[in-house]
Amino acid sequence: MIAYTPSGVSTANPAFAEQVNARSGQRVQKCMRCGKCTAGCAVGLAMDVGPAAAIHAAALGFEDIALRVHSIWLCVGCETCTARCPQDIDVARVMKALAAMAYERGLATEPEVRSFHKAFLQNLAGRGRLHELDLMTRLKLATRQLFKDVGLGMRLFQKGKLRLLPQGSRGVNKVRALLRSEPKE
Amino acid sequence: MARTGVFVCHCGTNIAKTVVCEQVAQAARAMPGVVYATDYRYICSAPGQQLIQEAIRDQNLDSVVVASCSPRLHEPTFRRCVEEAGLNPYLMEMANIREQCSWVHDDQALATAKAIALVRAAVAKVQRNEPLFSEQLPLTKRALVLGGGIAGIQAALDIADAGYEVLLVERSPSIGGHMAQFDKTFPTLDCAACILTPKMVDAASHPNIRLLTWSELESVQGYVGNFEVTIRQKARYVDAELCIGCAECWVRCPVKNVPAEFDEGLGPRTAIYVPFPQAVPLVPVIDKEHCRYLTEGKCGVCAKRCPKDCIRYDDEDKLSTEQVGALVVATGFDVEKGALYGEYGYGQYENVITGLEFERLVNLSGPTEGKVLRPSDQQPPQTVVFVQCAGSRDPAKGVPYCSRVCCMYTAKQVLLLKEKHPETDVYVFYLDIRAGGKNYEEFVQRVQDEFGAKYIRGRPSAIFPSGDKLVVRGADTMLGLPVEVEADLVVLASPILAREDAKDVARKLGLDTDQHSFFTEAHPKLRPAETLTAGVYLAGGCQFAKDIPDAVASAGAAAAKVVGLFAKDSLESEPMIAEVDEASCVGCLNCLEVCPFTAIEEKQIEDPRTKQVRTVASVNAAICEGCGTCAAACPSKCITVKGFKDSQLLAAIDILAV
Amino acid sequence: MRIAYFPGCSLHGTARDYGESVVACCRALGVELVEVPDWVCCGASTAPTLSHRLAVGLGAINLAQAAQVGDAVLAPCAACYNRLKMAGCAAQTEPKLLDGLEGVEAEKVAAVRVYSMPEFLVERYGLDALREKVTRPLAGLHPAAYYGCLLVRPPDVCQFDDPEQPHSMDDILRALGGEPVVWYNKTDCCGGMLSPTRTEVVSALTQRLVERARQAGADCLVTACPMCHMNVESRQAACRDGRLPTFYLTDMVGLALGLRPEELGLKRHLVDTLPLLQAAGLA
Repeated sequence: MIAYTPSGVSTANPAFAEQVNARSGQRVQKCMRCGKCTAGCAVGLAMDVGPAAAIHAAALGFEDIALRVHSIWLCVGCETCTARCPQDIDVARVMKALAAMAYERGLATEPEVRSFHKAFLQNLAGRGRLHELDLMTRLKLATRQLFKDVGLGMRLFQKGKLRLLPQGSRGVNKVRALLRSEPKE
Repeated sequence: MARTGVFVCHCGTNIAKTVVCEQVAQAARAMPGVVYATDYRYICSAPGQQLIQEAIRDQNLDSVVVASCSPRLHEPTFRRCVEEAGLNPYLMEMANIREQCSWVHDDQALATAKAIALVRAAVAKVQRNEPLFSEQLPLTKRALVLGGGIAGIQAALDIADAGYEVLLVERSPSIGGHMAQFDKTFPTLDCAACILTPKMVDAASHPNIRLLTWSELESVQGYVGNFEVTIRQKARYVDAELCIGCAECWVRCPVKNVPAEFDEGLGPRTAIYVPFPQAVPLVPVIDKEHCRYLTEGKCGVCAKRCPKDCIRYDDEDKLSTEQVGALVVATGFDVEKGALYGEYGYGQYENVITGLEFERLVNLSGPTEGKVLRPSDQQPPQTVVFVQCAGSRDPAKGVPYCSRVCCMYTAKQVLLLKEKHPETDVYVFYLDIRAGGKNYEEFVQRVQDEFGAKYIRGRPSAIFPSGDKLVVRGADTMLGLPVEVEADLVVLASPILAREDAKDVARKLGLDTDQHSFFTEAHPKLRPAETLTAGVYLAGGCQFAKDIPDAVASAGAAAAKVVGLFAKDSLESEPMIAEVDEASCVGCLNCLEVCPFTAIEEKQIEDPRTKQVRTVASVNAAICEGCGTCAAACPSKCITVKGFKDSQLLAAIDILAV
Repeated sequence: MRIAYFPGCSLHGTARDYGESVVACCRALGVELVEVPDWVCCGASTAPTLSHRLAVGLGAINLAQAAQVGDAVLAPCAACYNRLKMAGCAAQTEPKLLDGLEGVEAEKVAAVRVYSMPEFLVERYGLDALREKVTRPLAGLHPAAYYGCLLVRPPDVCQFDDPEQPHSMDDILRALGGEPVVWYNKTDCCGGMLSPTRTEVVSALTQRLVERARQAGADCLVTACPMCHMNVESRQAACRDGRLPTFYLTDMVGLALGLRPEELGLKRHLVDTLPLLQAAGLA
């Protein structure tokens, strides 16, 4: 089966649906296409297509559509979809599985969000606990938005809420061990 | 001196919103002869009717006017009501101040004035009404069921079980109808033949049922309780009394390539044949168009081979007349042959078939012994696309309605296909999924989840060949994108249509059909099994597309109506019919010419004065419908319709001119 | 009462006020908090997005550490709470995910009871016990209890309160003598981790929240999630009435127990809470 998209012809990969199932622990074929997830999505107002369409594309095997929708990166994990899906699909988990699969293949239609996550991981590998100043710096450099939220940063600093020095955890080795195999890049 | 009571109904707010009922009652009180007038919220209710009955007794009323809804709705109700209070039911008139007043006007003042006028006219008429009485008519307690599909069979069994004789007339060589063609049925996956054939055998062996297959209804005369039906038993060319169904004849027949109707033309049959192996009766017929003996005088193998010597090449159609009291129409439906859409290529591309054709392929007793194979090369298809709504829900093509069964049978067909050929890639293009029945929704979900069929919402635009495959160009409206699937086989869920000759059958029976030729029921919500022709009932798909559970239920409903009719000892005639004043009738027989129901006959009487024999008109009280055409045509004003005499009608009209 | 305490990265950082509030509050309640030794970041939103195993693994590592302290852990940050709870569920339903994690045993991990702040107060501490400790009832304040997403969803994971019409924080506020307003956006998302990257989305969502709370008659929000707190404080637009102040649940508890605003870190809020508190006689 093929689909005609503005960016070209997408050919269905018959194995893709099961790959998504394996990653997400869900069965995308159960989806009844009711749209309730899309309707309740907190961030739906910013998405290109809602979660329902992303899952449907995955169920049909349209790999390049499913991995390129912006929605999977904009999902904030509010779990509204998961809580309300009539077929008991953990929709948020499927969205995140798609994002993980996209990340693995170097696909990211929301590069800033991807940069955020990458910065987070780098931060984590450092000391095992988040150092916000470090995270923000990395993000600004990656997105070249050096002056964004500088005011906010200053106010946080004034209130004593922006640590200059990071804190570490002795558990960092366990974190690094985990990060060696996850996520797959 | 008249003592009329007037009862003005509010009908909740239906009337009261536009007509000031208290005012109408007040005005009625001032009308001549009215001794009692009141208004009430729902006169048809128990307390409302009690109000009327008490007033009749307490006020000694001799006539009643109910100002309320249309008599079509509650005339029988109020007639019964006054009769129970001891008043002749025909001394009650209704003034329709709802359908003819409050429902069609907005201005309260004008509508109220109109309602008062309508009441005034009804009062004037009712005061000139005379008591009328019914006659007892004979009732033949035998039923004819026209059509031997599941609905006809069920209706026949239900009526026969109640103790009445039934004639079951079926036009094809065997009973069973479309259901006999199906494989497994939704949602239980019962095999159609397995649940149908026991009923077929019951019908054939029931002491109260006489089976007439290969027979058609020729004509119907008469009226409820007294129908005379003429049946044509087509020439079978086989003696059904002697035939033991041994199969020698049809196995030996050299003509083996006639497209079998039962297999929707996908497989062959012989010239002498039974439509399917479990046919009831298991007696073959000879197709006279294709039999070598009947067309060329050659062959004759069946006659030579028949151990019981049953072949009768000289057979002829037989006409017979039967008396019945009720008719159940169960003539069924047809499935469109898929040709509605040139863009889908049915008829052009061999591998585009209809749902019914697929049913024959997947059926073990079908032309491919249950293997789903492409018609073009008899190879199993690797990708199958099912197209729902292939004609239905398309006002532009003349089929605006939903055929009700296709969503379910498509899901079932997907399941059967995947069960036999699990590796097949299956797509279903749909518009909506209509699965409103017990366990229906769960069935469809299962087909998608467990059996892996890919359901895509969107109507395909076209199907075109590509090599030896077919490309289905559709859309996925959820993704908002056009999609294409390369298919080996395409199955169209084509519309359920009324039978081609439904209108002819309707005419014979005096029934209405809708614009799609489905038979019209008496009331779509409350009287689905009856027609507006008394004594003629509907069962099954001829009334509208329905699935097997609904067909069986509707057959039971029709049977219940028949049994209810037969439970009476006799029928009561309608009293409001034409009456001839023989003294003034000159015998011009104008009335006979114009009567649409052929209810008027010539009659010879001896004139009491001149002692000479002369001709007068005579009304058959059983057939007359009281339409009044004769009364209008009579030059000497000697034929009147009881309850609608000129004096009554003119009084109602004249009072409005005041 | 003694319980393991999982502050998470934000309570030591940008939500330092929440951390101070929790510690002060628990001290006043007589609850001994024992910080989970060698705890690590729970993975927040990033871990689940990039790898389910990473998310479960981080949670499991922390639960294994918490198990060294006791049979229960208090995680005041809603995200940390949700990640720890999810890891506990996964330890039962997908234990293979925990293979290869040093010092982590699925059974031990699954046995740790994880509490959010409202859950702890309602189910472990008890509303009656809480009511008895109130010295300064919260009359005069009209808070809108804002639950956000992760305290109650997904219902299979949290198994606490009603996911659509939660009431635990409202019950706590009432036990403290307060009058929480009736409003219908209790579980609307604030936009979470999109704050630095897709700020306009968070602005739109928080703006709607604040407007609805105001329409319901609220003069402040009460939350138990540092992300919601930060987003509502920093991304809501200023309007004629200024910005709507946002409290942490433990701020409310602390105030009702007679603690001073400084003890609860209230001076660190980005939107000044003192005028409102003074007007209500709570500061």
